[in-house]
Amino acid sequence: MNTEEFISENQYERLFVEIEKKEHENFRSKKMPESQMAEKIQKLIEDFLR
Amino acid sequence: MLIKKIKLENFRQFVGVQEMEFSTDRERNVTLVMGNNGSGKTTISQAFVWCLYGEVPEFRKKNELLSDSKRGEASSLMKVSVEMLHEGKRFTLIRTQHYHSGRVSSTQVQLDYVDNSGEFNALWGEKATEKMKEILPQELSQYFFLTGEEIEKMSSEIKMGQSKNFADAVNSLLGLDYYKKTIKHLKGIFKKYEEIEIPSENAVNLATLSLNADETRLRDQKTEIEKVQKNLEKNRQEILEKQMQLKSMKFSSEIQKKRESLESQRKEKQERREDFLKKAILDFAGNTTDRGGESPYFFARSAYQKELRTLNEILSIPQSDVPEKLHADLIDWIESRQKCICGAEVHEGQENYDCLEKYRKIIPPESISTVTHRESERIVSKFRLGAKLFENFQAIRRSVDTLDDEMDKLDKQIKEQTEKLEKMEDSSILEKDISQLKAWNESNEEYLTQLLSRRAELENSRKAHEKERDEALQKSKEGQFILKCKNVVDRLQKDFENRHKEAEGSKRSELIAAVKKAFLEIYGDSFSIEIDEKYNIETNPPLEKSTGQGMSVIFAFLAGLLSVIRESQKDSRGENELESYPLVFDAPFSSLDETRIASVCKVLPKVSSQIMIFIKDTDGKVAKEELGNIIGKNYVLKKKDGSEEHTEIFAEAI
Repeated sequence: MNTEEFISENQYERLFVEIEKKEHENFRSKKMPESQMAEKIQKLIEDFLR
Repeated sequence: MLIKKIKLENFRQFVGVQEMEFSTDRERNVTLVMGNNGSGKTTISQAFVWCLYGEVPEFRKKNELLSDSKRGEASSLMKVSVEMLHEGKRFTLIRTQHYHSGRVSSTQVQLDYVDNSGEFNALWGEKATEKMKEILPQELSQYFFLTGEEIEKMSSEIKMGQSKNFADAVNSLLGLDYYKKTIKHLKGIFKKYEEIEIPSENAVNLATLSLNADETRLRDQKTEIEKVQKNLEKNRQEILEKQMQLKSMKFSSEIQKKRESLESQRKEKQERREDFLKKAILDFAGNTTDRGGESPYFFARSAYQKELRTLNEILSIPQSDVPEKLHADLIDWIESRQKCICGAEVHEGQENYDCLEKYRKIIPPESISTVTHRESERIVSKFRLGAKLFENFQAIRRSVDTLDDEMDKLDKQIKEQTEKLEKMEDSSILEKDISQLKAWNESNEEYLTQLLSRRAELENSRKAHEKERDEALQKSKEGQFILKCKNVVDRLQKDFENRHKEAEGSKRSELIAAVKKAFLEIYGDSFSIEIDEKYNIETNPPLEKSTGQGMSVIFAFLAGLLSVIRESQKDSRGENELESYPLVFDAPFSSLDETRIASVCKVLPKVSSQIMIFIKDTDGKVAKEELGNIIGKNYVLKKKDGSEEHTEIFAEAI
């Protein structure tokens, strides 16, 4: 299955950068516990794909 | 993070309150702590770890850390506080353990700090612990608080090719951990999606088929129910009609009575008619003892008329024509001898015979006149009787006619009533029919109840299948979405792995260059060093286990690592905001010869903002000479009165 069937390459890049940014921020600040962060990332992905 | 000060109270051999301030000077960044074996160098290193994280791996029992001299006291406390500089702010972490009769009664942890607005803040318990982990995560602390044994262990691992710790350290310290965490999160998300049961199209189709089958059955059921209800209604109607008929049966008895009354009337009239007829007969014929009633007079009337005419004729016969002396006896004699005296034949029917008879009526013994009048009167009387009989007959006839008319009317009425009664069925048949219909209806009602119950079941089944279908559809839609998410997450995971690999590769190259540089400074060009992807470090020629070569590699590695960390921070924070890390070495030079100690001392101060070296006196002298003017603080640990249980800290002049 090709990802492009579901999301354009531009959108995918935006999603990738967004995840990287959020993960990096949280890694530095350690504000959010791991499980909560995983949920946040999952929501981010699903919001992108809806 | 830099460590400003440590204060110990009753921590192992540091009895009472003792403190040690560390150099935070960027130029003179080394704090040298010297002491003989057993003087408490390692204890200070342990005090750092206990204060920051609440545990010391070497001491599992909580009361082992309390100074021996305090264990016997009814109430005592042990306290270590560490003052730190982090991100421009001063933090003081205080961990206190209270003892009661030598046993731990409570532990408190408190973190004081002054925030950016200059206000004092304090955190306690878990919050203080969490904040401390933000400042320096426990898992990284092992790379900043190093004992001689740990360095030896790491060295041994390097030589045995077990350098996973280094790989982890590199990732953590170089800030690549967030890639690992991102990948871990994505893996977790992917696993979550995998655990979701995604129904196939087939599941939707199956649920739809079941739903359609239910709907068909429900339609059939509805038709059947309507049919049964119709039959029930029809039967109920029929029962009502039959019951009405039954009620009307009571009315039939009235008709019956009426008919009987009519019949009785008719019978009476019939009897009267018969009486009339009998009377007529009697009038006509008389009774058996009678002489024959009056009918003969009636029928004799014409004869009487004729006789009257004859009498009138006789009365009109002149008397002079009758022979004198003629007697009836003579006539009888002549007629009997059938010969007149004159000899003429006299026979009945002959004129002379008739003539004789005519005379008989007017000759003696009867006087003709008397006889004639009497006879005439008798005849008139009889004639009159005949006339009365006719009148009576006429009267009887009129009565009979009237009766006949009345009987005809009665017959007609009787016939009407009979017809009415005939129309009414037998009540027993009706009752049987009603009973039969009721039985059918009971059976139908039972059947209807079953049908309705079955319909309810089918309704439930239909609802369940509808729900199942909807859920399957929904799940199918969600499933498609999950497949989509899975696909994207899978790609993200792979791309982040690649990104991590690239970043790690890049950092590893920097690290290798930095380690090589540090190694060169320690060993000169007599050794070359190579680090593979798994951070296995190899030297050429191979390191000798018995010498401090391995440890030198660790120093070179740490030096290189901290150098790369600083470079990384330059990229993201800028020169003025570089985060500092202390390096606390406990007996680091125990396996090194003086030459290597000198080499390491040249390198280490350059790679970290703060160096604390706990060293035995003999090595300390060499180190002190080598480190020279970069030593900011210098302490000596001495056993009080030669006691193993009591150490004192003495500041040395620089």
